[in-house]
Amino acid sequence: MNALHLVWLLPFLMGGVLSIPHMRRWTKLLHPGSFAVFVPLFLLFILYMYRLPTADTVVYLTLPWIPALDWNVYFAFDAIAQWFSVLIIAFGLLIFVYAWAYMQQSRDEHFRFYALLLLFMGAMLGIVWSDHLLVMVVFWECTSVTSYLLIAFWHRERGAQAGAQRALVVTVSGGLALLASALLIYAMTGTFIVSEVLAQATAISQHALFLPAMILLLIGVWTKSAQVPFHAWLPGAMSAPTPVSAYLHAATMVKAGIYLVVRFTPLFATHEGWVWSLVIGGTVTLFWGAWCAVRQHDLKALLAYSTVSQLGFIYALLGFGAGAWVIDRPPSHVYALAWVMAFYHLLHHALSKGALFLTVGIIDHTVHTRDLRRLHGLFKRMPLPSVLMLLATAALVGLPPLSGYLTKESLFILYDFWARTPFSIVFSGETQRMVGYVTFGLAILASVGTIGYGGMMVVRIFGNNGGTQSPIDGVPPHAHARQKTALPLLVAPLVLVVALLGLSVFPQAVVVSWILPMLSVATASAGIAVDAVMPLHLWHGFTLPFFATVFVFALGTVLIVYRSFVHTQLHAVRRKFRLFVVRIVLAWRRGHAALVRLVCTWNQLETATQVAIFLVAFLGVGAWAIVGFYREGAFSFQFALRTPIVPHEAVVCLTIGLAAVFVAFVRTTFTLVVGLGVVGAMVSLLFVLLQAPDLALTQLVIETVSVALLWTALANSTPIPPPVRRVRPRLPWRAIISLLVGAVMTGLTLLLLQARAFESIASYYVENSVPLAHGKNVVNVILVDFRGLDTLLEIVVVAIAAWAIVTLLEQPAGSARMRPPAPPEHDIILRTSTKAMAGLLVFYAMDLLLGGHNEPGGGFVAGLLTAVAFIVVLLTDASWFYRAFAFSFLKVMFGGLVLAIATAAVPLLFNFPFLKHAQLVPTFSLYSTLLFDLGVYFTVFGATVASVVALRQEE
Amino acid sequence: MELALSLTVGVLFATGTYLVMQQMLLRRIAGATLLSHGVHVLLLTMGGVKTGALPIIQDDGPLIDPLPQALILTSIVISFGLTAFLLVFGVLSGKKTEGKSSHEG
Repeated sequence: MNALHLVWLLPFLMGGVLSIPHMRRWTKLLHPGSFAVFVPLFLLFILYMYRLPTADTVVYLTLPWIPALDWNVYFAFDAIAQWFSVLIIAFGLLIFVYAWAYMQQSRDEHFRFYALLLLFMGAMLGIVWSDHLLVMVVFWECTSVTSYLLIAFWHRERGAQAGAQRALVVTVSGGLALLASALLIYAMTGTFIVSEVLAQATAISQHALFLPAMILLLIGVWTKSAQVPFHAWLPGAMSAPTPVSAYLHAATMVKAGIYLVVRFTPLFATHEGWVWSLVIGGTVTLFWGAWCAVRQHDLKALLAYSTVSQLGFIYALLGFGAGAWVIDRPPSHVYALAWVMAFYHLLHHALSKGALFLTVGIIDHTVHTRDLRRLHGLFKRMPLPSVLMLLATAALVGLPPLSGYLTKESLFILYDFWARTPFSIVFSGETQRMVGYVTFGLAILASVGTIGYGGMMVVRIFGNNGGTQSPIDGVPPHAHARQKTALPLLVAPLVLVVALLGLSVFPQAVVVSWILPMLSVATASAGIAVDAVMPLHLWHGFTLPFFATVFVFALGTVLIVYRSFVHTQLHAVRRKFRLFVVRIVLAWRRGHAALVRLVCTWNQLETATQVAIFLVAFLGVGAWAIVGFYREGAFSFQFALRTPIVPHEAVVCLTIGLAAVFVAFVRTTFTLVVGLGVVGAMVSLLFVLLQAPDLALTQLVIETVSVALLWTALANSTPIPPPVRRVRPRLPWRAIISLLVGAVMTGLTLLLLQARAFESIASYYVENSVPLAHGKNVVNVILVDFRGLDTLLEIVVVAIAAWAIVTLLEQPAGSARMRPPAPPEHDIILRTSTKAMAGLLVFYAMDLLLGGHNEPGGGFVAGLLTAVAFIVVLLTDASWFYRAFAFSFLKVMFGGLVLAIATAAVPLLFNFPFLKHAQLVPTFSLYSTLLFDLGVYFTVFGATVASVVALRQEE
Repeated sequence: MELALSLTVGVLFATGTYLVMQQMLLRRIAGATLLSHGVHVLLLTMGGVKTGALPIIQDDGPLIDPLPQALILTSIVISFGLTAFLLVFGVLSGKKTEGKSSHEG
């Protein structure tokens, strides 16, 4: 363990803590935001303390998971991971502060909100830290799921669920593509470790699976980053609270794809297709997103399309940069420019789009609308947010001398260069030039669109449209008065805009100190000198990019002036386009509806039919497997029947069979319960005959409790209705399936008797039971010592079941809790004698518990037996029982659970493995396994009694 | 003996399956219980019948395989928890339908 592990663990832990239901009660005084804000602050501190000494240092962190399979959680903390981590955490800090003031709902919502955001942050950090492809995929899916939950945060609002579902389907499908890609990469390289995979880059570039792996990875990347044609989910995701839109859907999650591209470019850029896909895909998205944004009325939807477009921008830059691996004659400074600008633009976009989202949030918060058609003249009303918004927009659309201008100029230079430098070995120089200029044209048009939507947004929000008095239609004019914006709401956008200005004024300094060290690692295998790009200029002379920029500004201004005309035209185009493109949307909707219908049809089936379908499927697969194994000669039909049949044993078996058939056909609840009891009792007798004393004991006690439980639950329920006679005789398919299952299981049992592919591991337990675990009852030793973890999990399951039972049966908090009506008084002799008997039972249970390690017995059976004693008293003298045991048995249960877990965990403090046993008193054979068993005892006892009490109060 | 046990397993599975496919929840619970009995007997038979002494170390001599027994012990308790849990669903759903029918009628 290294303190660095905290960086990705702490968000998960704190997210988990905030999800605990009781936290809300325990922390009346503290706002959940204070927990949340503490996390990024602390993480930044750790990152600062453990910052990498030099850029090319890599800190490998490994958490053993399944070391035997070399399957561990591998993390690699290098310059790239550090860079993205700081971005994620710092942005998170601002968002947490902002959300504190923004979310004005109940405290419960605050807890849920911060818990989800923290989980997201942890997952995001997990992605950038993992050095293992599958671990990365797991974290990748975690971000999809948390994003889904956050989009649907206000799930009662219209569109929230649909938007969230669409986002989930698209991003999770992308995650599956990524998983497939990871598996293909494993098939090629034989390793999941990212650093080892990258080392084999040149070796596998000719592999047949290389291209499929690349395409699948790109699909994963594009779905996450909402690239055309997978972009439709991002505007739908805008039903999320605004802090979420700013954090997940502008600054971090959509940039997970960029991280992946940066990480895997050294692997895939050995293939020319990587460059082509990134540049063309990026340019098309840049264009499409910008023009979709132009026709939006909802501010957040506009920003979402703008994000789609800007992400395309970054991918195009990364594509140019990836050319460094493909093209033979590298003019180093061009690639360096592409790489530097990609990250510069990433920062620029995160800051400007983040600030825009947050200011839009403030507008939404103050005037309760974000519809562009209803907003105007906002400047007077909230000057400071307006200034921030104007600056951010100016940077976003690329007004000189702000940061956006710098990147746009560079992008144009790169297109120009790309079109003029033939490098392709796949396409002819002519084709490449054509593609180059077409993409250049698209990029220019996209920039026009960018200026268009930015300008329209500003003109509409701040301009005084149509001379109406009120800033918002339908709101009285006195709302003109200056609105004071809560200070915490302003902190985050203010910081972002100041950072943005810093980025614009000191590009050189930012690049040198902040981007270049990381880039030198990312592009190490390409052998380009990234600092060749220095210094950055705003002025490049009268070149083609310059004229392109002038053209862009001119056309953009025209666009803003004639905005209503443009709007009409765009909507007209969209209507015409509908015929072609909207078919895709319709197909998506149809597919989604078909899926929903399928699920509905399945849900409408009788459960019995569903079970039957499952069984038939199982039988089919089983039969197929058996036939296959038989053909392979894995077994033969010669059964090893070693022991002769003894009459009394045969009678027990026969009774079980008869009672089971009886249970299957009885008509009343009473006979059913009795029949089940007979089966259970006979099975425990069978356990005696088969030399399993522990099983026999436990089964017998369980049978008692079960009958008591069934009887408590069903005491006054209606009898089983007779089956409706069908007019037309039908094939008794249920009986046929059952008989088939029975026959297969009989055959399977017989086959399993002979087939022993390998030696049983039983001898290990038998031999080591006394020397290692100091117990003679091997079964008990296995349970509490050798396989203690299984037992621990098992009692957790039991506890969850009991907890669920009690919770389900609890009266709703509103209704007054009714005391159970006084049950009929039983005979005094019965009441007294059962108490005496209960005492004896508890005494015997203690014997079973304490002697369990060496004799038949143990925590399970002792707990159950004690429960039986309590239940007997409850059934005969309920009023005395409630008076005598006025505490919650659930607390007993949780106490037992805590004891067991504590016993298991204490050895960790002394550097021993989890669950290691210890001698409690020197020279006396009393081991901590007894404490563990005591925990099991109390858990089982508490769970059982609590369930029965709850059921009884229900009656 | 193995033959008798295998047949018992078969009967338990057949009746359990039949009950699981019924409409009434109580019958399904009974089916699940019978199925788990079937699995227990199956596991115990698999481990070998009467191959040694009780799994409690006393003196030298082969013991019966303790592993299936440990497995089954776990399973018994878990299936008990499951039964109780399902039962509560039965009680609650019965209550719900009762309330509904009385409301309608």
